[in-house]
Amino acid sequence: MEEKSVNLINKEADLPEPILHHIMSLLTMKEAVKASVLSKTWFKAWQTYPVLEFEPKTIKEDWYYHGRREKIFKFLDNSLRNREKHTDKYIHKFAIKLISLSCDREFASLIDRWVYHVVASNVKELKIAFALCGRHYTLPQMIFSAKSVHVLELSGCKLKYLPRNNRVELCSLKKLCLDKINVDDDVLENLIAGCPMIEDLSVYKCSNITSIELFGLDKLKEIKVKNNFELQRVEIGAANVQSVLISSLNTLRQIDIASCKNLKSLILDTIITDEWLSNQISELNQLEYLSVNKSEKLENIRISSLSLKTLIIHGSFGLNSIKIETPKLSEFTYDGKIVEFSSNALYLSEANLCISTNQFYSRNDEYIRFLGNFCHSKVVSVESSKDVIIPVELREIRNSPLFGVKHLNFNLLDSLHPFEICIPIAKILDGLLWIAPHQEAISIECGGNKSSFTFSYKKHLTADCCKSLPVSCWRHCVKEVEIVNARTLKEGEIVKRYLLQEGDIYEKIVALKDLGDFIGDL
Amino acid sequence: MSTPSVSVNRVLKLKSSDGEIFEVKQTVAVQSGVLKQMMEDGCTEGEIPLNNVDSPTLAKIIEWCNKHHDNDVEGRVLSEEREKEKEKEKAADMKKWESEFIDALNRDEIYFLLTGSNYMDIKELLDCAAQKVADMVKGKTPEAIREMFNIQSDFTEEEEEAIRKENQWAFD
Repeated sequence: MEEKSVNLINKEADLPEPILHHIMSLLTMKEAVKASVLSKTWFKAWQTYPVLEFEPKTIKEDWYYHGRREKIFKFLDNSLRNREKHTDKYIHKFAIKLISLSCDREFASLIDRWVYHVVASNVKELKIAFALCGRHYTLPQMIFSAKSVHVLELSGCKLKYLPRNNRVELCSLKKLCLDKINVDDDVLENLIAGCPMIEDLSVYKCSNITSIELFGLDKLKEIKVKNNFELQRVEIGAANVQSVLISSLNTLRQIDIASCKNLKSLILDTIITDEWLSNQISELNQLEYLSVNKSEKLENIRISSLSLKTLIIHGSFGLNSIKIETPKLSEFTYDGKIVEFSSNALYLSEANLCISTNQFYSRNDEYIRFLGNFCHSKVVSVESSKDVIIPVELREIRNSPLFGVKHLNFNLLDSLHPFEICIPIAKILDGLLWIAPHQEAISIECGGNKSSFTFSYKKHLTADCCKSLPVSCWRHCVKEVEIVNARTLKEGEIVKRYLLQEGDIYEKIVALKDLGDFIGDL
Repeated sequence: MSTPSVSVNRVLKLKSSDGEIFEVKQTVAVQSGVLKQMMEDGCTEGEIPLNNVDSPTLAKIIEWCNKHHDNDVEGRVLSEEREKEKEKEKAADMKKWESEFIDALNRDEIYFLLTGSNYMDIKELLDCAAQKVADMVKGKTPEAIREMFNIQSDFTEEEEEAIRKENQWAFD
């Protein structure tokens, strides 16, 4: 390697071109253009920089460019021509996003030319995004024979004319994203069939598609189908697909994914039935992550899976029961009303429950029973109304539901009084300490404030504890409590008094003596 | 990241452009694409001359690599959720360390670090240093950037005017 002489005064100008390109990749195009006047080295680096990304980030910026559209078009045109001269006909990435422009003929022919140019320059990443309103820009046929393209993202355009013999030759394409594209079933089918290397496919808010069928694409790993206006059918039979997301408006009638034998993650945000769910899931032997959202038709969920690790059920308000036979489940998230729940999950370490209860009368028994399902989880997070505070008379005759829980996080949601924080921390803490009597940490969030309490215990203590719990409750063996942010100084004092006083009620005062050594952040 | 030919205790001897020798564990050195390739090819006997990297820069580069290596091997058995938390904490600590590391450098040092990490093919360090320069460039006028990096324009007034005119939209 030859010794390189470094000009100590003019160092940046001396930076090698690959490094300048690297720096430019971290700037917006506008900043990179500005930097090109710094010196000849920078200018040359700009001219050979094989990336042109014209993507305003905000509406304001978009309008700013809108007013200068002639100049910008001329600039882009020149930049592309320059690169033809300086880069050996190679463009790595071309991205253009113009949201406030509608498409007139002059504009369309210009974009046609650019597409032609970058495809001829073996572009690897091509992104084109236009406004949805007005006339759609129709992409030229040659986009279907862009053999070098790895990533193709299109938004707000029309895909209409297939090449002769329907020959689509996107033979390097790995990622295809169609967003707000006007495309019919026939064109879409031929398009995807011409992408043998495709790994990642997204179809968002497209119009005119009624059916998506994906078969025989061995490389396909990830599929996202979201809110396509006229979509009625989705059938996926790609053997190596690992992740599928289907979100749809009410039009979607038929979904079949049961032959995706390697599917690991499935997110459904569409209306499905009990029967469909249990049938499809039982076919997916590798499924680890399942999220089911906003499906009004679900009433009695039955899921049986040997592989499932994470289950999320969200906003399905017609539900009556959930029965899961999922021995490997470790995380369960549920948002909805109290339902009958049964599970054989042995390793369920984390449960996140957002419980909506009736505003006018609460059924404490049901609440306690529902929580009791998660008594062996390590971490339980509960979002609910003040129903979490079980009345004292009921505490006498019921067992604490979360006796095995180590971390209890509580978030007070009060739909009647969303901005009121009228319940004293000490009272909430008292309620939570009954629910989870031998936890190590409690956090309480309400009205934008978060308080936390860490409990440490004396070593094994065989107290004749209250009732028949397999653990002794905190009162009998607590050693130290650490309080962080109990809202106000006064509330902190009340909490402190409460914790000490609770000890006095019971016989084992000794165990509570050390409470005097508060490490309180009060 | 380790390859069969890399052993934990073996060290490489790196020789900076000004002749200073630095000893680096093989497990640390694999962060450099160039050194990794040499280890795989089995040609790391004796001193490895790094003619494009001077000793203060090489010391900095090794400091970076050591820090990132420590972070990788520090393993403790924790419960899953603690593990996740720890990971997050560690990533945040590392980010903090990285920004302190890079902020402490003057512009000459950053320059040498850029060329050095580019030469030795240490992607993360190159990213970090390039990001620093990009952050310094952002939102500034060309005049301010020139002053900051001590760049003397080698354009004639007319040439510069022509470029500015052609790219007027970017300067408005």
